[in-house]
Amino acid sequence: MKAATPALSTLNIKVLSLPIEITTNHESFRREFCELTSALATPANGEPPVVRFQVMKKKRCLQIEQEGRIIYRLTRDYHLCPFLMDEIRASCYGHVKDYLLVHAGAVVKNGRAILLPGKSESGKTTLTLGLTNHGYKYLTDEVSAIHHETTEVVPFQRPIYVWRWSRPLRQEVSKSFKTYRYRGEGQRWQYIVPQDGAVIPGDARCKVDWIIFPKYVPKSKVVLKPIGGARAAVALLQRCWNAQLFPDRGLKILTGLVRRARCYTLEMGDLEEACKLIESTCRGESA
Amino acid sequence: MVNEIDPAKGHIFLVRGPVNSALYDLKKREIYSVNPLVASALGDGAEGVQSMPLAGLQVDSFRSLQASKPSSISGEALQVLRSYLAIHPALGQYAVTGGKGFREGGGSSPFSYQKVIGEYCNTSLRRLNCIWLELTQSCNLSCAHCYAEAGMSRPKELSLGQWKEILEEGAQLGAKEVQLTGGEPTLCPWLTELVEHAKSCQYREIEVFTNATRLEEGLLRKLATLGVKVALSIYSYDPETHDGITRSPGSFGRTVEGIKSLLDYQIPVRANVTLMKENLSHFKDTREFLKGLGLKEIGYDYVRPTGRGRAESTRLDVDVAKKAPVLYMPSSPEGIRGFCEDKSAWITCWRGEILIASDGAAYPCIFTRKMPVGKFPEMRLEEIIQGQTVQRLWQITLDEVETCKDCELRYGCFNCSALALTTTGKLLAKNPHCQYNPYTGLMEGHGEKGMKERPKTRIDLINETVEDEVVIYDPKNHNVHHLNPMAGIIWELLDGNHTPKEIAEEVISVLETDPVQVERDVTKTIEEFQRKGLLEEA
Repeated sequence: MKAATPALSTLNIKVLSLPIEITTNHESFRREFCELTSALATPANGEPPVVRFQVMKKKRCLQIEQEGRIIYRLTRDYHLCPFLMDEIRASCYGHVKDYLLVHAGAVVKNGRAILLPGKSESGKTTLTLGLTNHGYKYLTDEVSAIHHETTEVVPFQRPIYVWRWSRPLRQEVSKSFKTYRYRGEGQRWQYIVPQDGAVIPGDARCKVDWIIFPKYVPKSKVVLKPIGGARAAVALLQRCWNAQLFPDRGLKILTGLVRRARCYTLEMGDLEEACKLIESTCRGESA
Repeated sequence: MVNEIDPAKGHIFLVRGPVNSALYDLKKREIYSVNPLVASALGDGAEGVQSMPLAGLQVDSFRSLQASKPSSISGEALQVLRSYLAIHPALGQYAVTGGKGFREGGGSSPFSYQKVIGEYCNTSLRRLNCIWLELTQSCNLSCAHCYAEAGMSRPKELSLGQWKEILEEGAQLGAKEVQLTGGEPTLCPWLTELVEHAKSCQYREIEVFTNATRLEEGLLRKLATLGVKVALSIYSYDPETHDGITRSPGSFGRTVEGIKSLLDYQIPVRANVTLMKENLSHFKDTREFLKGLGLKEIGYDYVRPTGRGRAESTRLDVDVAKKAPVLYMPSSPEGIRGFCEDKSAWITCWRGEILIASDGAAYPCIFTRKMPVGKFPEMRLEEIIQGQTVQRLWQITLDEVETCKDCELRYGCFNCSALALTTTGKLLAKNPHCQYNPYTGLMEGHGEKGMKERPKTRIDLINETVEDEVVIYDPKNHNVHHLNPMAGIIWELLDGNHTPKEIAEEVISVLETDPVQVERDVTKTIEEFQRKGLLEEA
């Protein structure tokens, strides 16, 4: 007797205002994905999708299709969810028209955001995670989306990949994030997903009041130094993913952003100390 | 092979150019540039000779030592040169007169390029040697310069059966090399099967060109077992720059992990760095970084104005490309190697090669997308390569190409015909990145451009003032410049109405500082603007 074909279910989410549709026949993937997206994406509210994905469990493998085209095929599903989240975010880059995408982490408290632009390995993700333990909510750890008219930053959240996860940091973020480990042999990657309490709704917009360029310097003292707006604007433009979409306005948008914000560089050797300094500085300036 | 060269025919050739000449040593696979005086001495069989390697396999920059007069050559140098080159016996056979092609020494019969290749290679020029198969248009990255404009798949891509047919027919037609590329070939569900099939068709070299971001264990094991080579592109040692070019955050990390996995499986890997504005200055460090990872074969290339590479934002300006230290060679080791062996395709591109795109369209090469030469399965592979266009393209040599046809280095030079065609619109144009002018015998593109008497900033630049400082955005190449208050004042005055001296006077009136120092600083700043291409050209 032939086994019954598993039922197809459809998930509709919105990432950066773009409706995305995911169809799947893989029940455990659906459950895990729903768990992830419950905190990270908003429901699509019936809008027609701009990108469609299919996650199909076949006889011998799992495959992900984008617009009917196979983009990934694997024999085990040990990193299906984070992979799909990555693909969803990547598919957004081509469709985003209203946001400048800057290589930066971002957190928010009381509707006022801190932007943390920096090169890879500068400590963006670490600092973003650290600040969530100081009452800040997670907006993004990698790419910040800045609205081209209001210069507000919007949530562009994803599961965070962690390589050789350090114990102190794991303990710190365990309150607000859930850790998933790859189940495959020899995999050293893990990903952590912010839970409801750590994030704000996907359609929220936050005014950027502080821009802090972190730099991880082992064993150094924590130093927060103000920098000029011009220097900050240059650094932001250099870290902008899609400046080519705004050739005549990109600079204007970013100089507008730095004029409204206070800009600093941060040298940090100790995460906890750095978070406390940021918190007290921002509290003092707010007051 | 080199060993097959008949010693009786000699192995050293002199090719005269309009000014300089070149010695080709086919045994050592090296070219030596010689000035007119040395060339005439050689041609006459005289004793005075001095030269240095120009583009030998180990030489990566332009060097040439020229004799000012025969008597200036020391006896010792001459002795060394004689034993090194063993020039005279060879030249007795093939000394050259005239500017085009070889001629037999003292004789009158033309000794053409084809004849040299024909004699030394004993192979047909029209044989298919290499096929590129673009298995899919689909790609998980969206590189700013992608010649194939890869991203989404095409509606009608070839099936597994059709790719297998192409592989079989290619092998029957004599092809020895196949490259499986894309898009991203690992996105093709049949990659493993096609690699196995290529192996069963007995291709001598099978290469998969991938971005290495999604290499699964099963595939790696298969590639290692079948002895398949892997080629990949990486753009910088700096993750941010690499990810910016691929427009895919995190892609650098995935590619590096991919490289490590490939090396773990002992799969031969070739890395290629495509140079563009964003990463030109990173090349040396990137090479070191890749060496550090354990890669041995590391090459570079530059963006062709094809596909997304048409956007000027990424492509190197010709002037910049000419100045780039890594692009400094007028002649390539591959060229002279091609001259020596039967890989005639190395001498000029296209020969013996064909590309089949994911929808079956055939092109002369991956960069020549506007010259379709047939379509599979409507046409068989044999029909495509026997077509008039392909046969004509396979016959082109630098003896036909503008300027190159007179250049003494033409038989050891690689000319990317696709670059010349897509940049100039002419099929037989000189590679626009080549900086050697055979008519002057000099390298060009290194002189500074003159400055206008009243310099003016480029009209298309966007600038904003923030707290007395100026930020300039160059939409042509997406560069950003940051000027301090004094440079900002100078910038404002570069309106085409002020001379540098007048600008200095204005600055002195504002800042009230040492006039001599200000004048010096103003000149230096304007020169810097000029060097960065921020001023209108003179």
